[in-house]
Amino acid sequence: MILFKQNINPTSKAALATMGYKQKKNRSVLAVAVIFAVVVFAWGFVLLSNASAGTGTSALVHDGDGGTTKLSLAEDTTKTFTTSYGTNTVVVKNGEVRVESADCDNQDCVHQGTISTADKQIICLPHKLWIEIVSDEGKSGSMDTSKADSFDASSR
Amino acid sequence: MSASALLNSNPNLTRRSFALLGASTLASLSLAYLTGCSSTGSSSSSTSSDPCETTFFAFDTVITLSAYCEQSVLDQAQERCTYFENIFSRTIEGSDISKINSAKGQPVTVAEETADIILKSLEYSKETDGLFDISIGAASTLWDFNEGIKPSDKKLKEAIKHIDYKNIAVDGTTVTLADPKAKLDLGGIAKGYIADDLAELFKEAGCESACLNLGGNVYVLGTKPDGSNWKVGVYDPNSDGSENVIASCEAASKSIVTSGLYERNFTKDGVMYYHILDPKTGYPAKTDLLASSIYSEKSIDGDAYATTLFLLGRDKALEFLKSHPDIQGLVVNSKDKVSTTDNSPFEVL
Repeated sequence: MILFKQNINPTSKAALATMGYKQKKNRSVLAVAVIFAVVVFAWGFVLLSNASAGTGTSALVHDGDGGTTKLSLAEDTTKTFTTSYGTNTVVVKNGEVRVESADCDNQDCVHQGTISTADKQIICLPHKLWIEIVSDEGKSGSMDTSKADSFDASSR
Repeated sequence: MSASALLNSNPNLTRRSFALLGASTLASLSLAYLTGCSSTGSSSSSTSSDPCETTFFAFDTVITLSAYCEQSVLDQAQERCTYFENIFSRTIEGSDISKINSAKGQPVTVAEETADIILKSLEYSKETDGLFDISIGAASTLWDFNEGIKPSDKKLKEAIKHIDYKNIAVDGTTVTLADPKAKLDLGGIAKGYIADDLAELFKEAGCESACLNLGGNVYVLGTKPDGSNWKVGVYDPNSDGSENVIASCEAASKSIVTSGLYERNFTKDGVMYYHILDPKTGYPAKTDLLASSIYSEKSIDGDAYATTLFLLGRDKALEFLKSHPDIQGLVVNSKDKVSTTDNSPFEVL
């Protein structure tokens, strides 16, 4: 490229430089436009999903291998999670989620019953698996009416 | 960019680079704002009023940290918990406690925090006349409440000979057990100590509002961003599945530690064994209390005293609480009767 530059006569060099300049200008304009589009799209996506989610809630299952699975509470479903720690079968039915069965010794997770609101969790300690409820539009605390559900933290 | 462009050193190049750089910076900042949780004093959009939250497993329980500050502070706090787990754990190989427990009476150099928590434990032992004693390890290591393992009477009789906090010596960062068969177990105090440490970490990072929940050991820092108190629910720690709220309280920069007799238990041959052991017998404490909750400035007090109350039984527990006006408490007896200290912040439900 250095050689190329050295072989060009001054007039052509100017012309080429101008062309090169225009190409680069176009490229950078394109780059800025792409970045702008990505940002607008991202904002639009988030705003739209916030607006349309309404009271949509999902269960987020965190498993012992570090995976996270989102299960919408609007759809009845059964899903089994098997990790090196053990197996848990999670069931979503009628807008609630629970651990239907597990092969852990104490069965605490099964006994914890169903949850459906954002401040509740189901935890299987031996399997390092836990389930939380996330409301698609953010915390649902303000929508809860019972006193028990409006706590910021539970001491137990 | 090609080498010739660089060599040209065209001033237009600098403007282009600046434009691209500027656009990228604005883009990433705005995307970060969109996706990040926030600190206080941000704009009025709804995304900026959510705290940052992080939940993970540590100390054999679930930790949830919720704070109105940068996510990086929570990440630091999580790392600090890992640090503590690696020095305080009785079971992790190479931890300070496992080194002390296998040193057969030889002096062991430990982390500052380990020396600190042991020294503090000794204060509680002196104050409670040995009812709180981290050398309960000689007995607690024989039980396994996850697997349902109960030691033989013979083993326990031998073990309790080695439970005596007076055998623990701390000199700077050197810990020596005068009894080579003694063993330490920080289970009754670690979460409280760590909660206080994390609260300091958040304060030093400039965080004024946070809610730290270490498996039910709650510390609330400051008030909520709008100035209102945190609302903490005291749940029946013995409930199996169903959520029973015993009481609620409002708090700002306070600790609430709740303890249940049956939190960890197993049944063998028709007998239920639970995790609060009596240092004098090595067996589950014989007590008429089912649950206790302590409201205090420091979480370490709550953690250490919560165990002590069980060993005292209901009447002596209430007397103990009275003689410590700087803490407030709630106890539930075996007939589900809930009692609190006078003027306690607990609203029994």
